[in-house]
Amino acid sequence: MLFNTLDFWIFFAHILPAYLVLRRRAQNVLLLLGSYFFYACWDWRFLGLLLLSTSTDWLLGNAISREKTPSGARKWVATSVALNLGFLGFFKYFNFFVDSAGALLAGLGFDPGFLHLHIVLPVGISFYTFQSISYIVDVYRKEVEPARDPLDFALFVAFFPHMVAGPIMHSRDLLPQMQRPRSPRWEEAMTGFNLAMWGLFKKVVVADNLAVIANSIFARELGFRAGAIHLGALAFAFQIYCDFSGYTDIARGVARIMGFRLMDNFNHPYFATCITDFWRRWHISLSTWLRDYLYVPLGGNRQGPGHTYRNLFLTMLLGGLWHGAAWKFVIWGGYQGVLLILERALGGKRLVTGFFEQEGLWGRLLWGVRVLVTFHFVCLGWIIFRCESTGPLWFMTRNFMDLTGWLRMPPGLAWTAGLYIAPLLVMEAFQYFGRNEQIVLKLPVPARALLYAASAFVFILWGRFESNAFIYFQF
Amino acid sequence: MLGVLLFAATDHLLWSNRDLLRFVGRYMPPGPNGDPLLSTLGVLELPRTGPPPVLLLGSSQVREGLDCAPFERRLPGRPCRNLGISAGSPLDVLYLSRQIDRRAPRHVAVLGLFPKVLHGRLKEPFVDGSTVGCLLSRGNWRRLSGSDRMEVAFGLLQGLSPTLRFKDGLWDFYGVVRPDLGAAWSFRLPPQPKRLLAQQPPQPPEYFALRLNKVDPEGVRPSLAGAHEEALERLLAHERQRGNRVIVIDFPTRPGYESTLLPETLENHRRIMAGLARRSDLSLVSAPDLPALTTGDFLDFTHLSRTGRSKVSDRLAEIVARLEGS
Repeated sequence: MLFNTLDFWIFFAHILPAYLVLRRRAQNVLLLLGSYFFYACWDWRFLGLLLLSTSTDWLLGNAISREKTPSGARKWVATSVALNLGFLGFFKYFNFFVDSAGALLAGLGFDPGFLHLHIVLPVGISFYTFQSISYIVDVYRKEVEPARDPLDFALFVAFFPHMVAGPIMHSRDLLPQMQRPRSPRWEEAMTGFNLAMWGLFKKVVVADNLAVIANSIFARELGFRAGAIHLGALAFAFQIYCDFSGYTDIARGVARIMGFRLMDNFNHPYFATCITDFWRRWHISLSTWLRDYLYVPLGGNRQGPGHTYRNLFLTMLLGGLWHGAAWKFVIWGGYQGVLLILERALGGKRLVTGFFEQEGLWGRLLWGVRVLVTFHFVCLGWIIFRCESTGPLWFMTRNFMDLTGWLRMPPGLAWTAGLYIAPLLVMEAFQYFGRNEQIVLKLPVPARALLYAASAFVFILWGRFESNAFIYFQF
Repeated sequence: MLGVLLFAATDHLLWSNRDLLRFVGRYMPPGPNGDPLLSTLGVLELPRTGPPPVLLLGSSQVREGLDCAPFERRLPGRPCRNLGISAGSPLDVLYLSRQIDRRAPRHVAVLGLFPKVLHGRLKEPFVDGSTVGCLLSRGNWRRLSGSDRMEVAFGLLQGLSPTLRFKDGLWDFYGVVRPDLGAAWSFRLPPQPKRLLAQQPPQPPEYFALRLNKVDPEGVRPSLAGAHEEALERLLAHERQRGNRVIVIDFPTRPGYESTLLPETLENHRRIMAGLARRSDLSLVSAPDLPALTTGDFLDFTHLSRTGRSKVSDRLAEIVARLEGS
């Protein structure tokens, strides 16, 4: 059941009225059953895995809080982390590592004869596993009280708006919302509805239409010419942004209608002035998770430049691998790591700067140049990320470095891509320069009505309602 | 809320404009995507006053295989309109009849039926409350798959917005006008494109050799048989209530066609035709009433060629004229 299908909205229309008339605990029961139904629509066989993971972490979370000594608590933390990563490793990475080891041994002249299992990746496992780990660590760090009620904890893990593709919520932010009474208000519900509709617009109008262009280019239908590669990178950059941020907006919107607040996962990432800035604006819940539960425990920047660079690189490498069991994701993670290290060596946080901190025309122009340069490097990363295999990667990245490619994009397709990107850019610019994500709600009523009516026409005419899955579901 | 109202008002105003529909319809390629808009235009162009028109209703066999000219020749002063749609089933015709009712409640309905449409799948743009009524009344709802039910829901949604209903056709329209957007922008109409299959050459012998004695279940939903039968029943009752004459044609098909059908499709068709033959509130026209057709009179198994179209249209016009007393 995808957010961009009628099935989901019919499901939600059934859940919401009942939710609004129930009390907190009954609401949680309803949401939990609804969430399990939502998950079972993907593949009911993995419901068992979700239940196993949930019950284990609930038991271990409580065991940690009962331990008198840190070493005793650490034992349970290690057990939980090992179990969670074990599930994730088996379902997501088993074949990758076996195949890679097999290829390596075959290259050395051995016949490994390893077993390749036909393992189906349970949808959302990367997200709910990370969320469960964050809960266990937070309980250990005494940043959050363990959930005494298994119902609250199960809902924290399986809450349907964010279960399959995030945002990966910190337990200290989401768990208390499960535990206290919620009374959704009309203004909140309207804001949530707006958010969800904007997310849907981004997905079905921008992302799914750009996907057609990006898919044809990455399938090498236009060859390896620089102009085509640049257009492919541009189309995919906005496709993946609108696909993922669209999902997040729908998740946040739907949750908000029910009185929950999920964290924002994106903050105008393509207005970033360097890669460090980009990672503060892109998939914020994952980068925060990696910072809090990987980079900092590795030592962060506390042990000198050498260790900092190592920690940065390792964090981004594993962050890349989190996205999928393929070498291209490892390379992509490594690429991001190298860029972060170079930036840290060159200027560190001084490179992170906003438009409103600039003084005078020159400063603002320079800000614009930095945004464009950063976007170019981000696009290079997207080529690695989107490439069908590592084979053509070299040709594609080499041709992408030919900057004249930006001016030599195939005109017909470039105009079409521009047509889809334009409404997004206009809205993003309004939000960014207006310093308000909900800027539309500040418009006078007639202007807002006109905007909604025009958007409805664009949504219906350009929207692709073909149940295209969200990209991040595969992660 | 104001935005939704503004959208709904603009949407309905826009698509009730006959000039716009005619302009888009002129460019629109035939086929299932264009049917919602072209049939809406067809209905809007029916005369509100004057003698009752002759309406040719049914599937693409009707759209491609029946010519209005002989009807207008034999029934002077009576307009004839062909409102056949691709794979038009009784459920689709029932939907259309409700639109027709608002424009020309008095008419002669010539309804073409052939085996597959009585087992035809649902078409979202032709779903409304009466479709749901037919599905519920015969217990078909329980037999529908999840995707069929979603089609019904999406169809009902399309009923709220003509833009959504015409969307696929509008994309086809865009594909046609894209090479010369300037002409489209200035609302210059191109000559009416040649659309009829009858203007194309018949299929080669290999086409038939490949398909003979091979069941082709495409587009067939035996689970909807009851709903189609109910729709036919409601349609006939509705026409009877209005005092309209109904002529049902058991549409001719090429010899061998029956070997490509599921046995239950064929059996269902025979049973329904036998039932219609016993009724006194309609006239059933079947093979013996029509001129003898040869394989050259068909383009494929079900669509008539230019010669077949002429033969069947002439004969049918003669029958209708006789019944109407001209």
